[in-house]
Amino acid sequence: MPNETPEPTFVVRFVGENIRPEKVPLRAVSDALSAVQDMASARDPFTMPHVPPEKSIGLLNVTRGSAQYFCVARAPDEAKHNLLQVAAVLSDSNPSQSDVLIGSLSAIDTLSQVARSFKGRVEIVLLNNGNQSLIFTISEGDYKRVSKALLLKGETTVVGKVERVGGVTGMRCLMKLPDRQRVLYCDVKTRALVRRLGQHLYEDIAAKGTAVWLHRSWRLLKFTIQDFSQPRLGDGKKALETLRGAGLNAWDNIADPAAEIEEMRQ
Amino acid sequence: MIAVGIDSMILIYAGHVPKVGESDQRAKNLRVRSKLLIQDLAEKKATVFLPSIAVSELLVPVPSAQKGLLVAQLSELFVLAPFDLQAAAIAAELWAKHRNLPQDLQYEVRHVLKSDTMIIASARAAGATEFYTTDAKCRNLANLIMVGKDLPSHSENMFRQKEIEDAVGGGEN
Repeated sequence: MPNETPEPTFVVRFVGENIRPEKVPLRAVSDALSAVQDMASARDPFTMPHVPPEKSIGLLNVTRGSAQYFCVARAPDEAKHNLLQVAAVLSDSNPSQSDVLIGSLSAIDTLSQVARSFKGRVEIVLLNNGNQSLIFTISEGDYKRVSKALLLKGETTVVGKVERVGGVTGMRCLMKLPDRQRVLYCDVKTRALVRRLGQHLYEDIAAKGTAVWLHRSWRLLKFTIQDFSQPRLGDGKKALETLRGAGLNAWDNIADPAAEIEEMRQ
Repeated sequence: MIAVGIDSMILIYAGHVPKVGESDQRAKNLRVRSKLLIQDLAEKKATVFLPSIAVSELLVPVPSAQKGLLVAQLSELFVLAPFDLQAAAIAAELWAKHRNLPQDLQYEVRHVLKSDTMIIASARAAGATEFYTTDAKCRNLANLIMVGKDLPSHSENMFRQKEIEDAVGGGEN
């Protein structure tokens, strides 16, 4: 029967003291469900822009009286398998750098933030012929716990195009990087810097700042812009004249520059 | 966005006007082609990465009082790519990959390999996708992680090429 209500695959449950559905912000529900959908479809947001329709998650039995959301997966077996894999990673006290963890890191971050927003935890419960089994729980500290073995922080330079600057909740800048599909949401150190960046919308910049990478793949996860510049060759001929005037002409005294450089490198 | 790295020799050749009359045709040729590259990259509005290790090489013969000025001018024109954590990891990987190259493409001098590895890794970590060098072995090394390129042999702009050839032939900049 095409109109028959499908059986729910799993439940996303917000659990906390005195939690009531009307107290859960709509944004938290939306963020949590999107994150769980990512986990269930094994979507790595860095490589797959959207969850394909055949793997999407729908809601069932949404009624007042609870903060639990019955979800139906279009590919239920795959969704259960993927969620169980995330559960295995989360239950490990010292999680390995598996593809599952790396792919679901962003969703775990979102669910940790959602849990913090209502001071509770998000539970994922699998449903099998009416039986419920709690497979994992995410609380505020879980992202920090699982990510600490994966992330590396350091100073670097990032070159890209400024796509958007500003933001209601913080000082942010969206940059489009040449070898990356998704835009990079950067934090910006000062308001003055936000204003300066705003004057360079849709222009290429070289931003200096602090990066957080996934150290196995060197995927850039977070970047805080501390300063930026816009190096440009401009007129090539003039550029060379400028450099000679600034001291590059000292090489004129060296008859064989290639031999000199080779000696330096030894 | 065109994002290319260059090594120090390209800038040295592009700006070189030898005091002593030059008879070496190869060096003359490299000076013409280096100038062509810089002018072509400028015309294409490319983002050009100059690794900071290459900057230190450029500074060696420059008088102390002028070193700061040259660095300031370089930073206006190029992205000065540091040897940061990511570059260090890329360099280590590049070093390991070099061992798998055929014997005739490998470096004979390990110190040179080390410098070139660090220079290429710095450019790649900063975002360069192509690397220009006058040295064939360095190009092979760059090819292991990006596109290693030789200097252009000619320009699409024939007037530019003629102008540069005349200037180099006449000992001008």
